[in-house]
Amino acid sequence: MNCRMMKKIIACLILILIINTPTGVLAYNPFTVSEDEEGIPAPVITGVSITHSPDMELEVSSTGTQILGNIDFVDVRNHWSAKYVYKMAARSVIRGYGSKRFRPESPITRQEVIALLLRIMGREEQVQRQSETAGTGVTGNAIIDLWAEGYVELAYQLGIAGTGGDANWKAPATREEVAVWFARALNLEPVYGTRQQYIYTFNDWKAVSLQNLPYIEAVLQAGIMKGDGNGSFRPRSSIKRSEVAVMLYNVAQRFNDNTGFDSVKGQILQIAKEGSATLLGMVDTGGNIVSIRLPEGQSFPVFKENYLGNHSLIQVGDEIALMLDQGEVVYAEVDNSGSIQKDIIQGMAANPGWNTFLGTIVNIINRDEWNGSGYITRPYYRVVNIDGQIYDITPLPGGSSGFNDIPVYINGKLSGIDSLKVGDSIQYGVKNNRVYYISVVDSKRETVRGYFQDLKDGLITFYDYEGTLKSLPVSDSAKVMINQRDAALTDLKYGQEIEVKTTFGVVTEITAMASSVSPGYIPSGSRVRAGTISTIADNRIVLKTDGGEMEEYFLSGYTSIYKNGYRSDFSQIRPGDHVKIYLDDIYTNVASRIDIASGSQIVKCLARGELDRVSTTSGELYIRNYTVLENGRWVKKDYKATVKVGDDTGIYYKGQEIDLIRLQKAHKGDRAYLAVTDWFGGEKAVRVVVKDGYEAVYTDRVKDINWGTSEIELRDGRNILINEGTMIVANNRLVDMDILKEDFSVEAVVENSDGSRNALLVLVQDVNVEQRSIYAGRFNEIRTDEFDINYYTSLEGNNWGELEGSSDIETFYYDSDTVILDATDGYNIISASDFFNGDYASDNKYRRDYDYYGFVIASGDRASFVRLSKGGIVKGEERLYDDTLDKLRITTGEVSFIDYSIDTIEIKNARNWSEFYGDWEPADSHVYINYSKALITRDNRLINPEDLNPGDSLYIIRDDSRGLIILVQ
Amino acid sequence: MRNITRALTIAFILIMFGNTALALVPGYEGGISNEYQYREIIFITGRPVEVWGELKISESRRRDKITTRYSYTMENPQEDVKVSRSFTFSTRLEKKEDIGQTVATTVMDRASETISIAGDKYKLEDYIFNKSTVTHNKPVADFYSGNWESKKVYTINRNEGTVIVRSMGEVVGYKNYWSSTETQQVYSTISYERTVEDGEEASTLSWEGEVSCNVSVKDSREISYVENQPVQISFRGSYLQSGSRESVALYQYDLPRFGENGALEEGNRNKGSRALVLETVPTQKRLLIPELLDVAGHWAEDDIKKLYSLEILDAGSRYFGPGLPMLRKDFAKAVTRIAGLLEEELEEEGEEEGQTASPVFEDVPEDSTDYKYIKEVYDRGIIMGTAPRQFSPYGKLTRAQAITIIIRSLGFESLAPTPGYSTGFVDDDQIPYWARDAVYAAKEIGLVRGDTYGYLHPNEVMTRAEAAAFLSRFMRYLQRDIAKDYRERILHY
Repeated sequence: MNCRMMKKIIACLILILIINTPTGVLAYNPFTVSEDEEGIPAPVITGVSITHSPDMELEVSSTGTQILGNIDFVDVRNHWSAKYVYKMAARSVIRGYGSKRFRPESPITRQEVIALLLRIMGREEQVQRQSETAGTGVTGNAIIDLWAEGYVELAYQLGIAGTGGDANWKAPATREEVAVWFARALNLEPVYGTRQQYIYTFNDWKAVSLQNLPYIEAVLQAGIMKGDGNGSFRPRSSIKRSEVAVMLYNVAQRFNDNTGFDSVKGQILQIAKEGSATLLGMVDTGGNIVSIRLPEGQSFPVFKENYLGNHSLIQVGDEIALMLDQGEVVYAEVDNSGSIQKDIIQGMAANPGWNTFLGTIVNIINRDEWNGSGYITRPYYRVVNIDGQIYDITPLPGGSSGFNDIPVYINGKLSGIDSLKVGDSIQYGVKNNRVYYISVVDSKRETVRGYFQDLKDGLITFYDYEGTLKSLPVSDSAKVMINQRDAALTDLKYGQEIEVKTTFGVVTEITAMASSVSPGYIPSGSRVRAGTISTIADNRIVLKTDGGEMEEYFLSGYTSIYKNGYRSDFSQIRPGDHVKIYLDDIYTNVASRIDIASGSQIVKCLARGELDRVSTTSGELYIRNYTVLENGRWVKKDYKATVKVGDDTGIYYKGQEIDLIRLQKAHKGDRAYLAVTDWFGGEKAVRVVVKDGYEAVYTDRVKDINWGTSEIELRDGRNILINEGTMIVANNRLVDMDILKEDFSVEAVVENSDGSRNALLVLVQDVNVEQRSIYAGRFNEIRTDEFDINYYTSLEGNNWGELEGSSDIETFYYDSDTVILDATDGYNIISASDFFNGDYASDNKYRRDYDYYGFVIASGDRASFVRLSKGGIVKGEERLYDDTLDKLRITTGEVSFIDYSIDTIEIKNARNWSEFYGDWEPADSHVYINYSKALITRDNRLINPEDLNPGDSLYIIRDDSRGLIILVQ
Repeated sequence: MRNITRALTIAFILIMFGNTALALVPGYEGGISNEYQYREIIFITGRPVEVWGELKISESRRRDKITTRYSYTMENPQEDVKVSRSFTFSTRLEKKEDIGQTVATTVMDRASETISIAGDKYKLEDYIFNKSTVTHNKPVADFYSGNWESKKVYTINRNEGTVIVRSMGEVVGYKNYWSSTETQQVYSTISYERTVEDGEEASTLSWEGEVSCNVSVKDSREISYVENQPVQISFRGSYLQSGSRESVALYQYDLPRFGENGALEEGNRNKGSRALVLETVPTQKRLLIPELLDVAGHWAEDDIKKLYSLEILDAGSRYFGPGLPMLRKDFAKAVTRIAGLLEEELEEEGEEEGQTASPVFEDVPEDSTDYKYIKEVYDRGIIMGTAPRQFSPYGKLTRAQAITIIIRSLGFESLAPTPGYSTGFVDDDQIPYWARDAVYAAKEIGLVRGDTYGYLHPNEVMTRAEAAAFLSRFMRYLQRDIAKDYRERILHY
């Protein structure tokens, strides 16, 4: 909405508001203002002060007091015509009879009427000048007083009195002739024929002489004369002096231009003292601020409530009409009927200097201010306007009460600013940043609902529920909310259901609902958490987010798990894995999908060395005597190596995290342990632990764990302390202490300081076998979607369990996704139907050479992988006797090199499981595995040897150098 | 040589700090570069071969049309490889300023490429390239995403055969004052067909290969504190701002395997991965010495001094007043500075002059020193004011306001769910309606968290120290956290 529009609307509203102003309290504030209103300064608008540059300054006639004395006719004081007589007297039109008498009830003579007419026309001077030269109009036959001859003479000349100079001018004037004279004096256009209306409403119109009818009609139309109240005009009747005074009063203004008289109407806003002088401040009907200066001892006649007195009758709020003679105040009439105020409002609306605001008082703040001699408490009225502007209104210091009060109207009654209350809805006028009046108004708050149609030219159009089309003005800054969010007016859509709130008839708030969507909806999977798995058990994951928070999530049957972009399963998630957890809604903690990072979490080596230099800007550590743990031994690799550190690298000293700057300053030359991951082919430390004290290495099993003190007791009785910084590595991942269990085989590097053993590095030897089971046995019966094995055993930890007999059967489901490798003769992947239709079931004839034996890798009771061969697990050798199992070795290690020409993988850091010791035994050197008949899986998928990469961590079931099952961890 | 290096450097700086083209990844060939070198792995022969050399990028712009020319000169002497390429792309920009979006469409103008490997010559005969990106311009950052499709046809030794390389690319990135990251994921298939004459017999060598190449380039400005070694010095230490570019390329390939004699080993594949990393030498800029007398030992000392050194927060004197309430005007100023909006303003100042718009807020006069900052945050839609036309510059900043300002500056309110949800804080009902979306988003991206009991205290006034800590956290988000989403969380999965 443009400003002009708004102004227009407000102007229209004011008219209504000012006329009926019942007090209304605006309990609701349509605009958001901070709770701390006092803290927010707002522009201050001070109250009016007359001493402050008014638009117009008026002086009072120096003869004002005398005029008052002259016009105070004793016989008019209680007469109904006082108002008219006094004013005409002050204008020097009416003069009394010596003894302060006017004789209002006496009939007026013809010569007197002529004299009064010429005086009000400003012709008296001309009369006086003319009487010096002899006139021709008045003949000797005329009956006339000497004083009146000049008036009558001039009246003839001006064509007012007509001809017939021999008339009786001392006779009482008739109503008819007075009317005609006034018409001629005013140059009223005679009204002829059908346009004559008023005169015929009188029952005695026929008594009027025909040639005077057009003049009398004109006088009646101009409102100068009226009938007698009984429907008669009584043209032949005499007319009273008081009645002529009224006629003069009615026409006086028409002669202002000729006479030097003027009138100013307005309303008194303030009465102040300036030195000894009195200042009256008012706003006139043109919207100008006018001040009237009254030097001490001077005054002027004031007529108020049928009483004539001096200026002391005037009060703030009076509507006043001033009569000026040559620009000086000579008379004032107070008329508190509201008609002047109405004109003022119209005048203000038309005056560009004025702003009229509508607002609500939201707070009254009292501030103690120094006024030069002491502190005064000054009130500030905080107002929020309907267009959202905030102002503080405060009276200006001055006056006898300390402030120049601002006129406040409540219910049409005038009072001071201290009568305003918080919550009052007000309309106030501001000019030159000053408030001239405040009016408490009815806020008229309404709520309407309907269907939005249009918004044009600052008007909102909508159909209400009854189907009525409504149109309301909208505030420029109306608050629009759609679906509980801030919106703009332009966001409203045709047909949308809206709720409109109006204040002062102006729309200040619009609430709409967009199409019904469920609250709290987000697109599925659009909420993602990234972090590191801290613990995982059953269907529960504790995630350490990248932001460092511990959060709990759950998996359901519908959770899909991906790794390397391929579907994977729950068994593939390991502590220390980097994952992204996708959530379908904002409240759930059940993952809909989990992506496992492909390798960023893999600790590719553990290293140690002396800190040489730290680059804080490029994030690099330079390590001297760079030594890595390889095949269970520390092997020196480089004299100097560079390792990157990132912002997610934890650097610890004595269990406390330190920053790079600290590391650089205090730890040069210290030995540090590093967990190193791959960073795009380079090396990046994810954990750096700086050693303090003496170092010792223990390889033992965990006997007990004290979770309260974070202590682990080894079998040999030694206790080692785990702290924040301790690097715990399992499954080639940096993990939390939570994964430690009793009986785990660990290799711990500890520092002995302050009498305790603090672990720097704990390498957990027990590879956490995936949550899947590996069975070895004889394929007994094969049905369409399930098969049985007997003579079977399964891996418990890394040990083969007891061998079951022929009657103990384990059943597995299989499907077309089950990978079945027949390694009898080469490497053949067979389909599920080949498996079912083929000769794989046992004939139970104890002809073992014809039976198939092999491995089943199962998730629950579903077989994911099957590797079988005719005649035993190891082709051409023993069958599945106990001692055959003994021949199988379980080995872990990392791919060092793959020689495709001889189908061999070189394994480093190899460790073989010793069932006798129940522990991993590091191999002394590289181990070589032939993969040609091996079932190789990664992430629960069958892979080719080409898919293996150096550094991959393997879990191998082998027969000597022949790999049978290779699980890539 | 020297000229070329300089040209590269100029182009580099342009890309790093200018805003003409958003691309950080140099070209579409899967290579990476630093100040002096460009590196790439080529697969055209069926074997991965690393080559290196120079890449010269020049850009000319006329209105909404950008012409970008890439000239590559590379070699690998050990493998007897020489590569020379010259590609000219033209990009047309469609800017929709009113909604802060730009759509760019790129096509190939001119292309020539010759690869000679051990006597064989591969010549580019045809290159079709179509790409388009859309950029979302937000107050603090620009976010963009794009796709392309291309087809390259090479001849082998003029008439011995052809190699067709078909590629699909995806690019996603962001740019803010503190860091910019762009990740390009390209998947290519190579079809190789060649007639090999072996004496009188002619046989056909034909294979297919797949290469996926992910390239990520990250520019960042980091701040670190440098403590002086001598004690007898007028200041204990000061901050250092260093800027660097880190480029990584990750290749995964599935190619044929060749035997000793160079013959194709049917049924066997050469699968593997390679990675390249190039980093620039960090630029260095020492920041002003933080001379503040009332923050020593304060819990937020580091944050305050850092922001003060960066001139993001003013003290007005040597007293910072960490415990005093943060005023809205000061926070607005800090946000414009942390977002680097002022730097951009310097460039645009010429255009802005002569505009005498009326002040946006009645309580912030145009001659006020805060005016330009407050106008900036208003123009960019970061701060709406407390009421129509009221900014309340001296109002005390609440937590809800601070969160809203920061999230709006990122344009992340859009992450919020359909209204009518709980943010999960115990005092959720205390959160003003206008701050709800921001609070949700801030919690999601890890910028805010509740206290020990899960309360947010949204309407509490922030102290200057708290505001400094929050801004410092925001800066770290702009420097590092956000980068992870564009690099690590893409390349590592």
